[in-house]
Amino acid sequence: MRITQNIIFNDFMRDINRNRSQMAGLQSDLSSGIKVRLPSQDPVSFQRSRILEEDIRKQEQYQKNISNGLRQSRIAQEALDESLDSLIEIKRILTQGASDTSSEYIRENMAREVAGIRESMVSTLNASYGDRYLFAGTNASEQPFRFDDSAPGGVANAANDTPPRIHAGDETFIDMSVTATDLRSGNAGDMFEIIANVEQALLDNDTETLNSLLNDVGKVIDHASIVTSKLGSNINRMEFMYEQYEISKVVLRSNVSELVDTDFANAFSDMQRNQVAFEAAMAVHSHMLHNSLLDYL
Amino acid sequence: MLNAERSLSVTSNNIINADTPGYSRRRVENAPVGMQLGSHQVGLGVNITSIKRLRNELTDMQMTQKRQEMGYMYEKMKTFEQLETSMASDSGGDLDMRISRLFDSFSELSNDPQDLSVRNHLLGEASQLIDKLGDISRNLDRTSEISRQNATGTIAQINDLLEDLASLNKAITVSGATGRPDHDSLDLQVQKLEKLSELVDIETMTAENGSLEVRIGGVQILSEDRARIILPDINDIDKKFGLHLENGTNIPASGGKLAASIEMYEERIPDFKNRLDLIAETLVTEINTLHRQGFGLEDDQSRNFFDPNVTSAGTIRIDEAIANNSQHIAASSMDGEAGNGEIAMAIAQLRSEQIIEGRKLLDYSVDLISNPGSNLARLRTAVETHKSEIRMLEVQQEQEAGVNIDEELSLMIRYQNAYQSAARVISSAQQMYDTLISLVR
Repeated sequence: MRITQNIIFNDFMRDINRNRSQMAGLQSDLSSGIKVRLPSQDPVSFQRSRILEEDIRKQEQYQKNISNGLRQSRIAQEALDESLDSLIEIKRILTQGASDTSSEYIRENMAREVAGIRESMVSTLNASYGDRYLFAGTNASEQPFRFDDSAPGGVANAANDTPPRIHAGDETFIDMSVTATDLRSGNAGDMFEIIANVEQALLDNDTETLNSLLNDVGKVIDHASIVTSKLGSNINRMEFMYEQYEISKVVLRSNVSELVDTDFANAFSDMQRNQVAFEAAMAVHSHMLHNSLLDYL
Repeated sequence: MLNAERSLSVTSNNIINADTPGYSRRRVENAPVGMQLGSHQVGLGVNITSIKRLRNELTDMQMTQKRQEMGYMYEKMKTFEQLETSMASDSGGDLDMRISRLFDSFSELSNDPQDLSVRNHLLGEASQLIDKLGDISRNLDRTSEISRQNATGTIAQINDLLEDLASLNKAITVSGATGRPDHDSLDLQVQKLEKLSELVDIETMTAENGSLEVRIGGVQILSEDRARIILPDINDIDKKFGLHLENGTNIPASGGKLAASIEMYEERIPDFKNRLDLIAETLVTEINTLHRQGFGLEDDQSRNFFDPNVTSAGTIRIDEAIANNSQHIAASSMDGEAGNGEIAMAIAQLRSEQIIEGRKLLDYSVDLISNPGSNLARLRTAVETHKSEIRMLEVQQEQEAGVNIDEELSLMIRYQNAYQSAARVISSAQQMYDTLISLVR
């Protein structure tokens, strides 16, 4: 075989160039820590990683929605707890008032106490988060409870019966509050109407009605605690989902990293191998260049 | 002595042309000359019969084919590289990201439909997505423009090369007729053909008088010393690129750099553009359909989110009423319910729905932005294989036609020796005659 200077030189240049481009690639892998930066470097990994990243972004958004929902739910839960305490207080007063030993004067006092409790309940239940009234359903820009003598129990209801919900997952929605409508309407009738009845009966000094109302107030408390626990279970569900997302994000992130991040140990050993090859090529070529008959003429 | 001198000049020519592309080494072909003299055969020395040019024509032909394929792939690769950089980056913020951010914002809005800052943020994300779409669309247009210019440029190059080949044809036939082949012109011809074959698929035929005939797509372009001029035929609206001769004959050209530019211009880039436009159109129609069912904070009017009159990636824009007042973004499914985020939620839900050719919007966009890259990766592998194939052929040709300097140097010494010996013979003869003459004196 005839080997000309051109063959030797071109082969050398080709090897050196290949080696250089590999070194450049390794350098960028090592300095950036990312192996697949552009689709052409590994189209399949690139596509997969981008789709996984979308899943991560989606879950992060769901997490944001959930923590937003949790903040509102917790405020709502607190308000409900307070109202429940108020209802229990009313029941205590009522039990006392219903006993025959209570005089008319005491009952009158009790009626004033009940009216006070009713007022504070209204302000508690008008709790808001930002400019959203939590118990107003989706009609959130209006106060759900307003004093109005013509309304049942003297408190008007501006809420609708669709509780606001959050987007917590694909096709998964969680109610983040209960509506005033739901809270008010128990088995025994409207909550505020029953409270108003208690107040009236105390004013009327009507022992019989007071006794019969005991049962109704019990039912109102039952209903309020059912509503509260419903919200509580929603809060638990949101917390649980948040944790689930946290775990699945870790898994997804490690998948993305496997697809696109540099394996440093591998890259380093590749780099060393390349360097040896490069140095060898240089050394050999500098010898080869001097192998010419020219020097002996 | 003259023979040795002549051989030395061929050798020196070989040495200085060792690195000239397309150069084929030459050898002096010698034949002894003798005559019958009585009963003896007496040698009369040596004659140069010819100077031979060493080159394997078959390898050249194989190379032409490979170079044509290489030129095609290389050009495609360059365009895909441009497309890749315009569609995907390593810094994030690509089309896929912008689309999810828009859906994120709708999801955010469903939590807080009354919050104005959330609404304004949503508008910001939407306009960033629109900018991105417009950006990619404009880049595609620019790449299309570049491909077109490349194709026209390539045609100009082809015409130049053909003209050169025509004049070479003339030189070759003239010198061929005198019986002394013009080696330099033949080498130049090889060099020009190499270049031409990178540009377009050609068929070549050599006539008996040594002149070369070139056909492109079966149409005779070059014969004898006449090259016909190829003209481009462009329709920028339908993205059509044709070639024809001055007399109107169409040339079905294929292969090489030219075909790559034309394919990009006619098919690939419009295809990318259609897919990008489809993304824009899907966004407009799907989001608008839901948006029209909802209500903003201020009134009970049903509105479009995007301007429904413009649906291409380059023109898509937010509906004017909404762009001017973020309160008009319809998050609520019921009129007057400020805390209702059902519509925003439904729009956010679109990200998980298969709304574009049976696929999710995001999967489709990821596919689109990585498409140039995956083409590029495939071409790179093919180019590597091709490179080594061409390299193999080049080595084969180099073995035949290449100049080995050591070989030439040793030949040089040989000729020098021959020259010296011949000179010595002359001086010996001179001495012999001197001796003879001194006898007489």
